[in-house]
Order: sequence, then structure tokens, then C-alpha cells
Amino acid sequence: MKRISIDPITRLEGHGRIEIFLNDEGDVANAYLQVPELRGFEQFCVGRPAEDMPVITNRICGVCPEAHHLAATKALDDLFMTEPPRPAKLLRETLYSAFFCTDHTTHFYALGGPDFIVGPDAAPSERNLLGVVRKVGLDAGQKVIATRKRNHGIIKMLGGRGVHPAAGLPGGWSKAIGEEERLIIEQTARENIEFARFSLDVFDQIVLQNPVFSELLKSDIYLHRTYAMGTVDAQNRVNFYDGQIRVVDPEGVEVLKYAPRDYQKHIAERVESWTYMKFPYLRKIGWKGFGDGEESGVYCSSPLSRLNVSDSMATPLAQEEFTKFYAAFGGRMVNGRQAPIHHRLATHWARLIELLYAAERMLELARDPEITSPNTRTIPTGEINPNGGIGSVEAPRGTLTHHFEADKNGIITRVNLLVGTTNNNASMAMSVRRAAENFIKKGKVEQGLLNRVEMAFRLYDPCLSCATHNLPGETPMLVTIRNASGTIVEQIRRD
Amino acid sequence: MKTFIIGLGNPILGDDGIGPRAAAALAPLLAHRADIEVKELGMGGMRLMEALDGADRAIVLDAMVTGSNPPGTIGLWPLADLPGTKNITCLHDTRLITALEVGRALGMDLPTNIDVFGVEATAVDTFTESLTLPVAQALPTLVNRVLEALSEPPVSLCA
Repeated sequence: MKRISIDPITRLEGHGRIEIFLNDEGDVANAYLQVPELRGFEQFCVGRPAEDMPVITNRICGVCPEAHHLAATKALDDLFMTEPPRPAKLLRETLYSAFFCTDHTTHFYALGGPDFIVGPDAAPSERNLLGVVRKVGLDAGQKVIATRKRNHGIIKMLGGRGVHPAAGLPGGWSKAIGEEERLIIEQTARENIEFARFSLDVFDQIVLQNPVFSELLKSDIYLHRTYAMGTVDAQNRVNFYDGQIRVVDPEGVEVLKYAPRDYQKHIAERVESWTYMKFPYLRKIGWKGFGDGEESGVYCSSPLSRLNVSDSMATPLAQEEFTKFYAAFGGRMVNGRQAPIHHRLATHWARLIELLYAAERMLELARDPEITSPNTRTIPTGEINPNGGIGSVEAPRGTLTHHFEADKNGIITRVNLLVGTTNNNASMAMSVRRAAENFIKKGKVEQGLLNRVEMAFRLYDPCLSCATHNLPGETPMLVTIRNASGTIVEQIRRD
Repeated sequence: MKTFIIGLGNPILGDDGIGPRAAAALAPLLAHRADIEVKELGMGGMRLMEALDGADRAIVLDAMVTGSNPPGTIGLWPLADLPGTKNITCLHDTRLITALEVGRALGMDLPTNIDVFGVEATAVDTFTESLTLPVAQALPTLVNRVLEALSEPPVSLCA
């Protein structure tokens, strides 16, 4: 059996490796993303005061500290058995909406954009943010930078710090806002809505109206008919901050709906000998290997899956885009709701619809009369939940769950995190395999393998530090093809 | 002439915290310099580029894991010659050089003079607030090399 490994060249230390195994005929036998995980987080936390968790967990990762901060804060609400007052929830969700606006913007223009706006076969030197700006125009680049800047400003204003928010407390939020700040949020939200609509126009003009890209989007190269997971509100609409976890089958039929607290009843984790990564799957269905279909417990948790589990969007403009999105893929209905889209490259489009939703939701929150209320905290009584505290949000890349247990003094005794990216480990492995199968035949590695493999996992927006590592388009990579005895028979290098 | 000192890295990820720790040590030593700002940042790429907006000169402090230098070795490079440090590229968006090109194309006020100090690290994948001994021992040297670059007198710091 041949073994192919794709490494980012080691000057970027500690990043993921793509392993591709060929069978005796030279075709792909298996493929997966192997990741050196960060270690010792639970041990690091045990023995610390539980209330430190929101400011510790937001250091796990430089990409999504806001998601960890809020999941941990919600877990503390549960651990200390306190219900935050409504104004605190509004402030938390406002910060979170601003975060989604920056994160989805960055992903689309810096990571997804190179694949679609510049093109999957463009020169590596062009497949980056600069190439996107050159193609879409300096004006678009300025909008991207301005969007990041104004939303980082909101995060700093509400969270107390720019990069690692610190305002989350068990039972509330440490910082109320006044009318002046509310007006800034409202103005920012309006500008975010304009920017999101602009981005959807860019996508429409450059991708949907380009036959080659449009065909790629709807091709079956990364089509996986798996279960989908996401958080929904009481009307089964997308919600990033709060709600119940809904899971639908590949036909879109609801199979699970549960409170985040019950995640362990429904999700199990598969351990494989070849990687530190765990592979979560639906307990009810069981682990049947890296396959799709109703029989496989593999699920996906992403912008695409969030739309797939939802009956509609909670804001009007996002709802219009949601309708267009499903219509573009045939608009098939099952049991009165749209059938899921399984073309994983459509995740990039779904991400932009979510960007618009986040912006509209931010405006709704800014206009809520209670958002300027000083009542932002319920002081905990000191009682500790004997069942531990569990908090969950939708991170941009998937459902994020924090689970803390503490002794009667509130000292952490156990920590479990199920991060957004981890949910998609099996799906990413399947997409990488699909790319490899398309570009390796009878031992011959065709041009385009590296880009297609990158595209496969990049669409899931895997997070760098939380669970796995990402390879942007310009990261140098090395493909090493080895025979059964481990001898290198071929190397393909991209600097 | 505005100079930004940026300590890059994660302070709870072992040796990865060398940049933020050096920045924390430098901040009070440079408090009298109105022309200098000291900042900490978790990652490079776009975020670092944006943090450099308004600087005439920048000094970035980061861990590096080349495996070819003894732990604690301190390297100094102008950005253009940088062989790569641990956090200078944000794998979630782009490498710093590309981010700077984007920023300049958009008319941002970015420094052309960027120096990067890299400290050879070993333990960067296990959560701890402790540095390994060779990296901890390099910290005072790193601080003094930055002070020297800023024409400030050296200080005595415990490793």
C-alpha cells in the first residue's frame, strides 16, 4: 500500500497533515486529516475557580475567543444555577452577532474567496486575500477591513477587551451600555447589513453567474448525504446564541431535538488509533465508519447544516436569501420543509446568508428597548449545580459545547469541551477522501490535488487551535508518496 | 516616529507565551516613551497587520519552532527575510506579508520597518503558564535586545 502525506512545510510548526493511503491498484483506500492536537487543557483548568473559565477558555484559540467566552459563560449560568436577566442576554448576543460578522467576513474573503472568486486553478500566489481584492476591487477590500474594524470595536466596547472579551459572568454581563453606545451598535448593524448584501451580490456575480464556478458549486465532488446539526429557536429558525439542538436526517426529517445539557445522551465520540482527534457521531444511529447516508451516524455541524436544520431564517432579508438558496438547488420539499442541500461547497454561500442574518439580528438587538437597561446581572446564590454546568452556542464553524463540573466551593473538577470543528472531523475526512479519489487514479497523482484537498477541508472553516489546523491557499505544502515499506517514491512540492 | 512592540502568542500555551511575556515585561520599562506602544496579540496575519496601522516602525516578538536551533536561541530578522515564526501567519486568514500588501493597497498607514525577534521554543502544544527553562532564561536577554534596539539602557531581570 502506498502512503501519501501532504504537509505544510515545517516552517509553520505543528499543523495538520493529510494522509492518503493507496491500495495495491494505486487507487485511494483511505484518507484523513491528521492533527497534532493541543493537550492538557482539562488538567490546566482543574483546581481553578469556575468563574475564571470564560477568560481561560477564550485563550484556547486566537480565532474564536468570543465563542468560547460565551459558551463558558453560559456553562457558568448553569453551574451556578442562575438565570441572567434579559438585558444581559441581549448584550451577549449583540457581541456575538458582531463576532459572526467579522469571522464570516474573514472566512469568505480570505479563505473561501480564493477558491471561488480567484478560482481553484489560479496560481498559488493569487489564491489569497490579495488576489481576491485585485479581482473584486480595492473598494471591496476597504469594505472588508472596515467591517472587521467596526465589529472589533463593538466587541471591545461590549466585552471590555478587544481580543479576549472579559465581560461574561455567571448570571449576566459586567457592563451595561447607554444610549450613546446603543446608537453606535445600531449604526454598525446597518453598515453590516449593507456589507452582507454587497457580499451576496459579489457571490452572485462572480460565482453564480459564472458557469464554471456555478457548476463546481453544484458538483458532487464534495457531496455527502449526512445528518445535519444546528441550534434553532422555538420556531425552528437559525439562532447562534441560544435554543435547542436540532438534528435532521439526510432527507431533512427531524430525528433529534434536545437541550444542550443533554448532549452526551445524543453524541458519542469515536476514537481511532491513528489520530488524537475524536470523531463525534449520533449515538442513536451508531458509528458505521466514515460513510454517509441514513445508516451512518456521521453528522455535519456548519453554516450549511444550520440552514438545513432550520425551517426558515428569523430575519427578513436573510429569509429571502434562504429561499433563493434552496431554490437554486432544486427547491425540493420533504414533509413541508425544504430538503437539505448536501453539496458541501454551498457552505460558502450559506455562510454569507448567515452573515446577513447576524447583521440583521444585531440591528434588532440594538433596537430592543431593554438593551440599555442597567439590569445586567443576577447574582448567584453560591449554590453549585451537582450535575455540572453545560453551555452551548453555535460557533461560526459548528456547535460548541462547554461542560464544567465543580466542587461545592466552585473549584473546577472536570472539563469537557466539544468544539465546533470536532463535530466535522469525520465529514472533513470524507471530503478529503473524495478529493483524493478524484485526483489519484492507478497511482497517478493528477494536477489540482493539493488545491482540491485544501478546498475540501477549508469549506468547513476548521479552527486553527481549538481542534485542528487550517491550511490557507498560500501555505506551502508537500505531498510525499510512499510505497508500502515507507520509501519515498515521489514528492510534489508547492512553495 | 511611532514604534509598536507586539508580543505574539498564547500566554497559557507554554513557550508560545514568550512574546506576550516579553511584552508584559517591556511595557513598564517603556512607559516613559510616548513614541512607543506595547501590545499583546494572539495571532498574526490580518489581525497583526491591523494592529500595526499607524506605526512607523514595529518590533514583533514571537516563538519559533525550527528544531534546528538550541531552545532559547534568539533570532532577529527584518520581515522580508523572516524564515517563519510560530504565530506570524494566521492560518485562519493569511500570512503577514500578504496582509501587509493588502493593507498598503488599501492605503493603510503601515510600517515598512518591521523587525521580528523569534525565540526557539520546544513546548508549544501543552497548556501551561510555565515556560521551559531555556526559554525562560532567554526572556531577560530578549527584553534587553529590544531595549537596545530602542536605544534604552539594559535592565537586570530574573530569568
